[in-house]
This record gives sequence, C-alpha cells and structure tokens, in this order.
Amino acid sequence: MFDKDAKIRPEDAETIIGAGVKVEGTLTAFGNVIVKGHVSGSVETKNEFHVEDGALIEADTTAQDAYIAGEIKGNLKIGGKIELAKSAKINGDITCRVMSIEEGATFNGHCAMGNTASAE
Amino acid sequence: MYLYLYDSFLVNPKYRKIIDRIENRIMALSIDGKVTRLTIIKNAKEIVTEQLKKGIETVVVVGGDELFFETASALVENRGVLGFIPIEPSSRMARILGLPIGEAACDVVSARRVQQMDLGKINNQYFLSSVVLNNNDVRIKCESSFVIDPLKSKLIRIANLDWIDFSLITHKKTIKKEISNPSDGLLELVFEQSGGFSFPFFKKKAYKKDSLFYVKNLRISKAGEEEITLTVDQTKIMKTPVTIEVAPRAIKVIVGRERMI
Repeated sequence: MFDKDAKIRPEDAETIIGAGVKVEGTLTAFGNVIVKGHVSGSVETKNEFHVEDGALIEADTTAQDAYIAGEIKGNLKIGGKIELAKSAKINGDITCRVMSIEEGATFNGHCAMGNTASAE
Repeated sequence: MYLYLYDSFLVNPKYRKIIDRIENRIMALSIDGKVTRLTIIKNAKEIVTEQLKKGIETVVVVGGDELFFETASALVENRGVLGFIPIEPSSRMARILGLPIGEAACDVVSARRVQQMDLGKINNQYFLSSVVLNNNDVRIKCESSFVIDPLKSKLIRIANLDWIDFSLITHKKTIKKEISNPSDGLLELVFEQSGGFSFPFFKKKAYKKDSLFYVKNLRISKAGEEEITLTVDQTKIMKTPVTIEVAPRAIKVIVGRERMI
C-alpha cells in the first residue's frame, strides 16, 4: 500500500478494519493493522498486527508483533512477539521469536520459535 | 501581487461592516491588491486562471469554504499561493487551517506561513477536502490489490483535508485522529456505520466510526443496478464509476499558527 520511503510515521497510519467492512486481497500496510472485522487473502505489515475478539482472518499474515484475540485461519509469520488472548482461535502455523498463550486460547498447527523467525 | 476573490454571498448588506474592517486591515498591512467580486455569471476558475497569467501570485478567498475549495482546484493547474479570509464562524477550514474569522485573518495572510499540501483527484478533477458517499452498495478497489466490501458501513468519506474524528480503544492504547493529514501523500478512507438516532436530535441520524484505511488510489464502482452519487468538496455531485487518487504536494496554502495539521 505504501512506498518504503513514504514520509509518514507508522503511528500516524494505523489501518483499522472494523466490523462493518470485509477486506479481500493483498493488504500491505505501512503502520499497525487493527482488525475487528473480516479479512481474507494476505496481510503484511512491518509493525503490529492486532486482531480483536470477534474478528475473522482467513489469510496468511506477516508482521513484526501480534496480539490475537479473534479467529485466524492461516499462517502467521511474526518477527518478534505473538500474544494469544484467551478468546484466540488459531488454525495454522506460527513462526515467531517469543510467544505467550493465555489459558483458554486454541491453537491447532505447528510452531517454530527462536532466532530463525523474522518478518520479511 | 494579491488577488482578493469575494464570495457571492458578501453582496448582502449585512456583511458591509466586516468587509470594511477587512479592507482597512489589508491596507494597513500593505497587502492590498486587485479585488474581484464573484457573481453567478463569474466563474472562480476562469478568473483565477486569467489573473495568474497577468502576474498575480497570491489568491486570497474572502468568504466561505465552498469558494475556497473551488479556488484550490483552479490554482493547481497554475502557479500561485492560496490564502483564505473566512467570514463565517461555522467554517470548517478556518479551524483546521488555524485562521481567525474576519479581519484578524488578514494578519495570517500577511505573515505568509505557506504549507505545501496534497490534493485529491477524482476522474481528473481536483478536490481539496473530501469525497463523501452515503450508500454502501458499492465496490471499492484500493491500490489494485485489495477490495473493501462496506457491508454495514453506510457513510464513506475519502478525505484529503477534512475532519475525520476517528477514535478507537484497543487493549493497549487509545487511537485518536481528528484531522486527515494533507501532506502525507495519502488519502484517508473512513467508513462509518449508522448508529440509529442521536439524542436529543431524534430526527438526525448518528454514525459511529468503523474503519480507517490509508491509500494512494482507489476505484469505486456500483455493486448493484444503480449508479451511486458522490459529493465532492461539499458541493459538486458525481456518479460512479470513479477513480480517486492523491496528487502529492500539488498546492501551496497560507496557514495560521493555530492550525490543526
């Protein structure tokens, strides 16, 4: 969605996908991505990926850090830390450096952790 | 050299006193220039284009937001700086650009603090503020890579320089964005859901902010049978299909110290 040399700060360009819309396709965002609605396809950001309770992601995702409280059907490639809240439901593989899982979260898939993980 | 473009509503005698005060202040600050009063038969774009050819360097709109928007789109194809002396306290642009109402705005024009801004372009016509559509029966394709289906979002605003008043509370922080950024080379795409009726004005529909995207270009086409109407810069009406893109750093605008951008 953005040129690499775009003169905007990530905190100024937070993509917010609410419950009132559905997004399909390849979403490449410069800043953080916050999802409360439905996304299918693929998502890429060099910043934070935040999925709220009630959101549905049917997409492969690449991000630096992630907080997941919604449902994900797809693979997550996280360069840093991923947090799964108690309401999280994940069907897919996770690659990350650090992971925290709250009691009650559901995760069905493979997980690769350590220094080999990075958000390309 | 300055050109002062007076809005057509200023012919009303109730504005005589404020115009006198503005003209006195302009003379005192030695920023006087040519004055043109708009009428129904005088088009702002034609006047601006003609006067810029004659050596005018700064066009100052005296009047309302609508004429300010019209003049901005006329200036982009030429060279020149745009100033604004707002007359009505309800002016949205006055607040965003940090301009006082009436003769005090002459001091801002004189101080000449110039900011380069983007413009929006809809089917090759420029706009300064925003495009609004109040219908979700559309298909929105952004950056040729993803499609947004508005589902429950009824009000859609594509903003270059406008109030968007978006706030969201997440588990980590509160995100708040009041004004779109007109200098980032991007357009803000805001979706609002109908929230029923607002208290105490039960007849007026309220909207709650839903989604916010940042895009360089998008295409809006009808999803159903009928073409959808869009309002450009609060006045012009267009119909789908439309292609909207950002024209980066396309215009120079005089802004005040108290600006919100």
